[in-house]
Amino acid sequence: MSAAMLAQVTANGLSLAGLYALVAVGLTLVFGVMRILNFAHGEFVMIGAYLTYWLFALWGVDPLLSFALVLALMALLGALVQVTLVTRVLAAPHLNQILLTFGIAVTLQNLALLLWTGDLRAIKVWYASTALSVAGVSLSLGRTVGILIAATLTVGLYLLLFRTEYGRALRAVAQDPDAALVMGIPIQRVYVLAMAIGAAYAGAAGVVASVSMFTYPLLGFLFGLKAFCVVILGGLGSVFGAVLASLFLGLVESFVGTLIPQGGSWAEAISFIVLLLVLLVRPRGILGLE
Amino acid sequence: MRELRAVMGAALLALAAMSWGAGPAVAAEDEIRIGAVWGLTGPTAGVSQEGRRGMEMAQELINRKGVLGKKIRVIFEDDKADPAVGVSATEKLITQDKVVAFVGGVGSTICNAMLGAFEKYNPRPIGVLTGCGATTIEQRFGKERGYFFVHPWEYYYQSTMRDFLLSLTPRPQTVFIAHEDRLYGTSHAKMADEYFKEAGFKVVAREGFKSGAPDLTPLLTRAKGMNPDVFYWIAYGADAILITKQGKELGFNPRLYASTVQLGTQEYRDAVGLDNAEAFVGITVWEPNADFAASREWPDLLPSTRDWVREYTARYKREPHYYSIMSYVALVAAAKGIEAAGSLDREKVVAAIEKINTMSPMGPLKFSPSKFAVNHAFKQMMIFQWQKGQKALLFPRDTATGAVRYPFPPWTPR
Repeated sequence: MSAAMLAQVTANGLSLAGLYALVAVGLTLVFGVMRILNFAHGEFVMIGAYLTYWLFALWGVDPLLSFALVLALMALLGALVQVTLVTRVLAAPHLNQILLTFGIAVTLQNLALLLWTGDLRAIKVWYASTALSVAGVSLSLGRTVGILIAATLTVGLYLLLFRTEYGRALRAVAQDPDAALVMGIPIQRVYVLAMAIGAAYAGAAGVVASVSMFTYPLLGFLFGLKAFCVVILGGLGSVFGAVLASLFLGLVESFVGTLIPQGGSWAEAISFIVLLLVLLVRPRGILGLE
Repeated sequence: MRELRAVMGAALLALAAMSWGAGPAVAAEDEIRIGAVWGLTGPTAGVSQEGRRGMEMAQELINRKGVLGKKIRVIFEDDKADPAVGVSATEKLITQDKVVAFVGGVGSTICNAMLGAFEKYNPRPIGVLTGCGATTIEQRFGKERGYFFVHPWEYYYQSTMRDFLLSLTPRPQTVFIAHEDRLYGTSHAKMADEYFKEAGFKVVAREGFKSGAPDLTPLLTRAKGMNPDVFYWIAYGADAILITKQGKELGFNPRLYASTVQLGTQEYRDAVGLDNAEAFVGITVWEPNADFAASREWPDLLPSTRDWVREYTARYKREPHYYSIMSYVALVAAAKGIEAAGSLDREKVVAAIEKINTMSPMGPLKFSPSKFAVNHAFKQMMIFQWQKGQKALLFPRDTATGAVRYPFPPWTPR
């Protein structure tokens, strides 16, 4: 394999990893803080993609400009879902929590179908599939922007978690909610904050997906399933584990898909085989909580 | 108790959401129920929505006079392009909705699963089916008189594509075949491989991939590394959009990009844009600029192509795809069969549909044997190319409305 080919395959893998990371960090943050597996997380990605699409289609708002607005709206949606629905099952058994978030997912999917039909919709902006050629490697400007967004938001999350009072509160609740409550941390507000951040990150993935791919009501299922794989591999609750697992899966899928005959069919299977092997050796994932 | 209530509440919420739009399950005597299973969401949504529109239009026009004094009611179900979901939808339509016949559908994978589900019932439902193209289906189910196949089989596709490639100057030498890795793509790709090799083309690879995957750059990077003259893929609408976008991103410039039917939707053109769709080649059964006369027997339901296209465009403010008209004609055939039979007796309805021989806006509507099936209509296929946002018909030559743009214009100046 030539150096240019190696670089191209790596670039493709990193691009995919960026998208996976954007979806997965929000999911794992919510689990880390609340111990809830949010099955509606993929649908937040889908709603974010539709918001971006409609802002563009109806008012011509470029996704780069609507990005902040979509994040804010998604954070609001996340907070709303938390306050009105999820809060009620926080103390309930996991089965109830799973059923609730699954119900939210199906409702959002069907609402999208009812409101916007099943048509595939894509945003046509000049940078969406504009190619940059660097030393024989073709990079999409749109996907490169996506990687930069993913990297920036991940660093932003790191700073939030480790450099702010809110972050300390989030980590404290993740470690021991009872102790955090005794220390005067308003844990219900922290839960709302976690869900808002999780939904905002899912919305960011939706923005990138709507530009680099398309959107449709089942988009969330596509990403939700992969996000669960990433989060379990990285370790439930670990943001940095999710980033590492995204990188790993993105690169594995890219290399397998490109270099192995019939790799397009095998890439996903190999990802899941790797997941199984990792779980056999290290059941809590790469950086999972004990 | 509180926990039980919560579990039941959540389960009910999920079930209610899943069955949204499913319609009542109680049989009504004043209507004739037709089942329609389409991939209304998922990777086949584009053509499925086109098919649904065609059936809705036919339903409304048929119901102006009714059939046997009753209204036709089409009950749509979404298979999400998933055969397991398709089978569940089929079972529900047979057992709960008590449909008289199935009409429409897209995708051989789903069609194969549906017809497999039909086998459990005696008598088997009647099907006027638009989504079956794989020869394995023709071989397995073609002898059943009650199945009317309204879509060319894959050998019509691949022989037409082969002949088109042979007509190009300079003649391409190498072909990379990519296909979605279920029945539809695999079966078509195998046949394309055989036909192309017989014609002297070198097939450099035949690669499967997951339809609906969020990233096809590995496949395209692999293909680019092999530098084929033709990149030919067999998959669904979502894949066509991604291949076009990511082919451009990677600067992949074969001498020809060619695919099958899902490339011809307005959804595809709108999603990738006119510039990016330019010079992509696809296969079609029918195009709106065809010119067929109205049926003598039923001109109100089967008008000339021009009148039908005008009516469709006025209703939906969009250009019809061939799945729109195919599903329309299929529903009219089923309704006219029931009407001619004078009852819902299965044998009488089957015999009546077999006797249909008329003109339609899609061309002559008559079921006749194909290689393995007893009842098959519409065998012709045409090659089109996107040119400035319109589909120019290129092949066969006698139906051509434009000249081929070949080789494929490079991405960089676009």
